[in-house]
Amino acid sequence: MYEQRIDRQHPGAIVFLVDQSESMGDGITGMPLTKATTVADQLNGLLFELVQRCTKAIGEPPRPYFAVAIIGYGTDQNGNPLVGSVLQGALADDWWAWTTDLAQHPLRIEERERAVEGAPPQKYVMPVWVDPFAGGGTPMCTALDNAGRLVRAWCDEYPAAFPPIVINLSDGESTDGSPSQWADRLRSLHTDDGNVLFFNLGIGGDDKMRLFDERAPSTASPHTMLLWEMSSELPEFMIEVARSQGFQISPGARGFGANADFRNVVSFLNVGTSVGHLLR
Amino acid sequence: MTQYATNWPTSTDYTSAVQMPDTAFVAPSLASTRPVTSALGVPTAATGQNAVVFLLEDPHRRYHALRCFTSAPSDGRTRYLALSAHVGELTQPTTLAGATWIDEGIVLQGRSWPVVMMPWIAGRRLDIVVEELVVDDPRRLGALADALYRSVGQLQATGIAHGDLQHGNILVGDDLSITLVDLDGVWVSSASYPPPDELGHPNYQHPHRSEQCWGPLVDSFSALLIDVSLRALAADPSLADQLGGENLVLRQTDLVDLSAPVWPRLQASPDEWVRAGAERLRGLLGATAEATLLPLDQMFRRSEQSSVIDQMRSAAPVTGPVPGALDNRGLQEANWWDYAETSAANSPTVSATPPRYPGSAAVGHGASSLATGGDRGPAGSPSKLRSGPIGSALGGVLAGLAGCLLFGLVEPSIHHAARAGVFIALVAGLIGAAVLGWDGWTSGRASRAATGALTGFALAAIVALIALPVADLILQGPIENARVAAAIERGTSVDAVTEVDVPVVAVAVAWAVVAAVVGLALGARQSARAALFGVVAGAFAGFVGGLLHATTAASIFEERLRVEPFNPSTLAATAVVSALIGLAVATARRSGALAVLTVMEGRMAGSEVLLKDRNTIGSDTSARLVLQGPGVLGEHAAINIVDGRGQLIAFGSVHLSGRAIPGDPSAAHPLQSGDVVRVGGSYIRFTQRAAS
Repeated sequence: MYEQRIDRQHPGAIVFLVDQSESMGDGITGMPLTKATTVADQLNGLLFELVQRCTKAIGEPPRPYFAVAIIGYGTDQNGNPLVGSVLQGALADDWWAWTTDLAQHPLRIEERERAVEGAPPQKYVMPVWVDPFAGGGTPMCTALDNAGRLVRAWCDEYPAAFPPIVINLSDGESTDGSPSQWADRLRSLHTDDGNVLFFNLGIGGDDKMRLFDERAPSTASPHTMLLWEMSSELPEFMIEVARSQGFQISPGARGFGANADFRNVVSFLNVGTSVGHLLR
Repeated sequence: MTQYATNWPTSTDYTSAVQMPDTAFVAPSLASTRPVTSALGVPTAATGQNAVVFLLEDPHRRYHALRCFTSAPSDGRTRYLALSAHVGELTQPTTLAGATWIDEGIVLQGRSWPVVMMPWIAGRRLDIVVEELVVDDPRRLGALADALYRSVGQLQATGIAHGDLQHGNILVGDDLSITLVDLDGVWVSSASYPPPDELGHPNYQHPHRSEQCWGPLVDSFSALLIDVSLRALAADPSLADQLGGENLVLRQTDLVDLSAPVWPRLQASPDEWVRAGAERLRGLLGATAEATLLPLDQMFRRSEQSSVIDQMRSAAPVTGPVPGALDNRGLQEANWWDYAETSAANSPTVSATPPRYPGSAAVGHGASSLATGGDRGPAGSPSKLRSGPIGSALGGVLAGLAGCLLFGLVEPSIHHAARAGVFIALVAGLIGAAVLGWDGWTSGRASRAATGALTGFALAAIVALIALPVADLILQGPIENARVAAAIERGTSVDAVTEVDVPVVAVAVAWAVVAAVVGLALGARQSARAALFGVVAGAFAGFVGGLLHATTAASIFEERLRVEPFNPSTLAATAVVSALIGLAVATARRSGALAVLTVMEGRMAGSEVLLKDRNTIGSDTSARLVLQGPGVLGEHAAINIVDGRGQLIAFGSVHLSGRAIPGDPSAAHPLQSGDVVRVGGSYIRFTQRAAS
């Protein structure tokens, strides 16, 4: 299980569920950024890395080894759920964006500056696909329903491939019911290589920061407990990656985090998407 | 075990750095080179398992490949230096790319990192060439196999092994000339260093290859696998369906599973050598990895080296399989979780066709953009301070300090007999003001906070004054005893003893009495249950705080308890006592409340309101929970507690746990604990405790 290598006939799929509720516009601990900006920055970095990872020869476009869906969920002024792809422009027509297409259609190329001691500021450019956004409620069930449809279709199409990874980044409780049953359904989907991996990160909050717990955080709030219960156990190789990043975790550790600060968001995404070794 | 990147820069880190060559390129050989960029202006890069490669151009318009490591290269320096020395001694040309190790090549993240620099080689990767040839000119794949066989043979003859022979490391020129790149795992006969961490591409290695399986003959197995693959494709181009971009005909899964469907296809190849080679591979896969360490000629045993390509059928052109079938396909319909595709009975109420954002996601959300992030609730207070107990504890600290200060100011004008009473009434009153004022504030309105504070002050101060005689009574006995003891010790009359240390427990009990009464009074405003909790919690907090007060600030008798408001220890003790009482009373009130409303999302996110029997929600300042934002009516909804159960009455339209409810004052909707009510853009959770 969880060892099918990635290639054209066995492409990988990663679905990001991004909470776009109003409170995502609040600041994050550990960095002068909002939660929404942090998530957008990290996603842009991950997408760029994924595109580069699939670029096997200079002068050749990246290969279609991964398809990514980034599903934003929030509500409009009237509280109706808004769940849809966050990707824009040419990428807006399909839920999935292949690495090949991502490389061709960034939202824009952003120029950035880095201060260097004793030298003029140095400029560099980075592609950007995702802009931060925050407004409305947290229709997590609707988002999971969407993710399930996408992922089921994927599993039917690529039954031998590494199972899709679904990563849910939110900062609050679901406002359209309990997502528990939806999470169970999502995790029950599978390819020959294992069940769908569903990872959940709660960003911000006042309680104790948690990451990759292997035991139920029974002393934590019901919401934290729910996030843990919804989350898949990390496959062995992700546990190795987490350990190499300094996390003392045991088998059974889940792709789960709560009350995350900036650093935890970065670590969680690094570990949860660490499928690079399945592709050379 | 696979080597994972840890603290080494990522490919995107390097991509930023090479764009700043003036500061990032520190090695002299890199100075004045520039990265070649794509049409989008981003440096072009190719990524492998352990490194990212950039294309650089120098001022003489020569091109170089810059290899930057994303994980620690095992003994990289030793390996590359030994290789350079070894190649320098050779008299014949080599098929290895000329690579130079540079210790301090590129600076980023505050330190320098090693790089490997190579002249740019005009070849294309083996996998790309193969996918083209299998369609355009399959016969040429045989010639390509011949060229590779010669290259690997030449390499072994010169005492070198590549260690990771695979499509990505083999560059093919237009004339089928071969160059091998990625020399991170190279072995040379003239030097000794440990085997690399990297065990080569799994699609090209014996599944049981271990670190010990290394040395001059390590390439033989991969060479055979590639040779069989190329000739199999030449003889039967329909095998192109096995090409996945990361392999040639065989995959790791096929190497592990000898019953995989690809094997019969190889065993049925029109090319006799392919059939023989496939058998050789299967034999080796059934043996140990060490058994594959054979010289190339022995591995191939090419006595009957065939050119049986003439038998090849002219097959229909085969195109490389491209994913994309998904592109035009709709989403899985409802019941996507059900593999049996059974009834739609448990289908949820969400729409089958998921809504999409309009072209520009940010438009249409009007005021709720990121720019408004800081403007949330009264004075933009951080939401964590909104919860009653913490806020009340902080309020208690302030109350204690302010109490001391105020008392210090008025003390000289008060008769000394009344001083203790004034002090306690003042502190108690301020605690009451803090608790009730805080509750008023978190429900969204400054005026309610003020009313709450005044009510709290009056209530707590009055009950504290009432409780004071009791406290005095408690203190009187111990004080008298202490005075008598002191008189005997000093040999004076009892009346002459005006100062004495008061026993610690007595002070604590006195505080407990006062605090319990304050807890009772503040709790009683909520419910009988809260009043009961208030008494217990207040007594406990008062006792603990009183112990602190008595042990830190020696309490001295002077007809009555003397208070020194500007004594630092009195200040500290009073603040602690007040904080404890505030915390305890507010917690008691909260746990005494039958139901709580919590704002989950919206301008007032984090606010909590303890519910009374009747509670209105709306933008009107008289509402129990005041909500701001568009679409909220003055009196939008009410949540009432009837017979211990919550009921929602909607005056304007609301959503109850996702269900739309039209405004109808005559309809009462029962609430379950955990239900979420949406009013305008705010989401409010109703939490009800089990009725006691």
